[in-house]
Amino acid sequence: MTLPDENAPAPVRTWKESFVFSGTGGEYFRIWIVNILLTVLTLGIYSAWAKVRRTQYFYRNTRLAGAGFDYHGNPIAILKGRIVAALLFGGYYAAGAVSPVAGVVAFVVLMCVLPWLITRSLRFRFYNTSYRGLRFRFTGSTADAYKTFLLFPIGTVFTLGLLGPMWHHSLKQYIHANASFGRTPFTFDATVSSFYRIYLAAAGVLVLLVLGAAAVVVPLLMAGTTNRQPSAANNAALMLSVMIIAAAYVFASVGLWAFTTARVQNLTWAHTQLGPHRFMSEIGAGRLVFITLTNLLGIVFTLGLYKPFAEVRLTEYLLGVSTVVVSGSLNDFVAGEKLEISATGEEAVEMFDVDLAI
Amino acid sequence: MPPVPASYFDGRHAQAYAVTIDVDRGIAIVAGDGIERREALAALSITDVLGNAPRLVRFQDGAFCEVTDGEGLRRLLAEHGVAPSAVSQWEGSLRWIWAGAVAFLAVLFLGYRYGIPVAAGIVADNVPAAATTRLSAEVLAILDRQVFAPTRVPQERRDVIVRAFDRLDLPSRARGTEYRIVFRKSDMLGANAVALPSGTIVVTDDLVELAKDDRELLGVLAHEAGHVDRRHGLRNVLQNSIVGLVVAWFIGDVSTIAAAAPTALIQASYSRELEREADSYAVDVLRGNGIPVRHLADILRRLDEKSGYKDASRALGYLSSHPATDERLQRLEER
Repeated sequence: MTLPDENAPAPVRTWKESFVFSGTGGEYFRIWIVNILLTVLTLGIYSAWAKVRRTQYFYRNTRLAGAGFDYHGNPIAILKGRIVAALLFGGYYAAGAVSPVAGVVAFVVLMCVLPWLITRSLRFRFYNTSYRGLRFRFTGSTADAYKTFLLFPIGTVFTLGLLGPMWHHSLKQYIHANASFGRTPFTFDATVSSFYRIYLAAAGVLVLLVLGAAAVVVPLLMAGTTNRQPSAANNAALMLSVMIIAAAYVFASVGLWAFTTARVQNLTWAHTQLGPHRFMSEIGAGRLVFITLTNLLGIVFTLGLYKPFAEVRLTEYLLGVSTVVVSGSLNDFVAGEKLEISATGEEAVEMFDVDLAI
Repeated sequence: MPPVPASYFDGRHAQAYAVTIDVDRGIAIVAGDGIERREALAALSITDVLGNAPRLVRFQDGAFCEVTDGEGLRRLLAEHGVAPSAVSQWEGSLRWIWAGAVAFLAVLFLGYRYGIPVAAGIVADNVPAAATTRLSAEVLAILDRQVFAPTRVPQERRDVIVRAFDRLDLPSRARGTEYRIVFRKSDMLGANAVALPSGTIVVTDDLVELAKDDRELLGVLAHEAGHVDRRHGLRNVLQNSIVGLVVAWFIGDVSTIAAAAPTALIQASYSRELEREADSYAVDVLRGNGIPVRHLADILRRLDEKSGYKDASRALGYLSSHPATDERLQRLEER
């Protein structure tokens, strides 16, 4: 009879914990509307508090394994950051108005400062996010930021987009490989070639969409322009084809965006680890397109009032398809050291509309 | 009041403890699962009501409790004199939220109708003349390279037109605006006139040829002078930029490309409004100088017939930067 080896480690239990969003559109609408009206009444100053309220609502309603996240951003710090960002923005615009040369110089200066600002933004956002009381941290170096946010974009432009997938990979790596939760670092091991495979597939989808659209539009355009004499029927056909082209363009661009985003997100999280724990993301491109387009229609036809509902709807979906594959226990994390970080980076980056949705 | 259930975290480890929170004579008691803490209620920091999001009760050492029973916590705190913030009370009142939604739509409408045009007007009025002059000179230089060829209109003819224009009594001349009429040949623009913010007005050879009476040209020049006087060039750029930003904020998260359509519609409507303003200005100038308004109407009609895009422009009505010619003629004849 063989006895079980007493020195073998006990098998580690793994199970899946899904993210859940516990907020609703109706609740968030109230917060959103009061945020906007107070911001207008205070000529924009309240916007910093509005941002904190909004972010806290979303973070605290993001739940995992029975506990929620939290946002610790300080409204005063955010307000200062916004003022600095507004000055930068104003300076850039003013330079352009003074002369084209000044505009170009301002643009170059801005491009050189942006990577530094983005790094600060990430540090601020990460450190002010906590889960179960432990803070996240971002420790990406400024040098790597310049590689990711200056060299790669320039390289992509010069190679007519061919470096694009590599850039996207370096972006995800910069963020995921330099993040940590408490004292535990995240790790990232996706390959560059996997990104190229996604973009190649996207190019294929694009070709199919263009062919499909052309098949519908070309006959219509022919009908509209055969007869040289303008007539009601011809004009109707022309108008219709213009509208179809516009709608198809929107549909195609949203479709492509959803396809690429879903694939990249799923791939990125499948190759991210936090200590022994893994992640899963199962975003469906089709569902994402549907949600995005219906949200868009909702917002346009309600003159904007649907926007808070749209945001909740999208967040609910994205969190619902995200899972943590826990290995052992979530209780083993320990806090890192305390830090003081200002918000200037985050606000400046938002002003220039740099979206780093992770 | 029963104690409120909560999860306790010590701020240094991820472990959660199931506790209850109670308050007794100003002292908060957190107990359960091996945890026992007492702290003056005043020394705790309690997060605000945020819809039904969990609330956090924070100790000064970084430990905290996460409470999902919002109603229970609210009652417990109310018993001990702690009330939710004014902002959260507004968010909680359905009546005030309805009022807020109405106010939001009103703000949108007022912003579109008055806010943006007025703001753009103020900025445009305060741009220094030196910047406008330099910008206009650069634009003309670019146009001369890409679009314009030297004029073929004879010198004497040009002088007659310029003299007639100089004799016009224009309200803006009193304000110091200096106008300069220049002539260019352009196949791309056809019969047309373009006003630059500095006061330079470009007239194409085709337009000179199309006119059957110099007073028709004066009508067009008066319209262009209106663009200069009211700073339409700058106002247009500013209004369009602001609209672009606002629409992008609303729809941008969802799709930046889809934001183009509403943006274009609003920008076109602003553009048409400026054209109407220039037409009114032209009518005032013509009347003030004893020139019948029908001369402007005549040349507009002739321009419209010549271009042949009558039906298409009506079809594209909402996207058009100029009001439909029929509408313009009707307004001219009314005044």
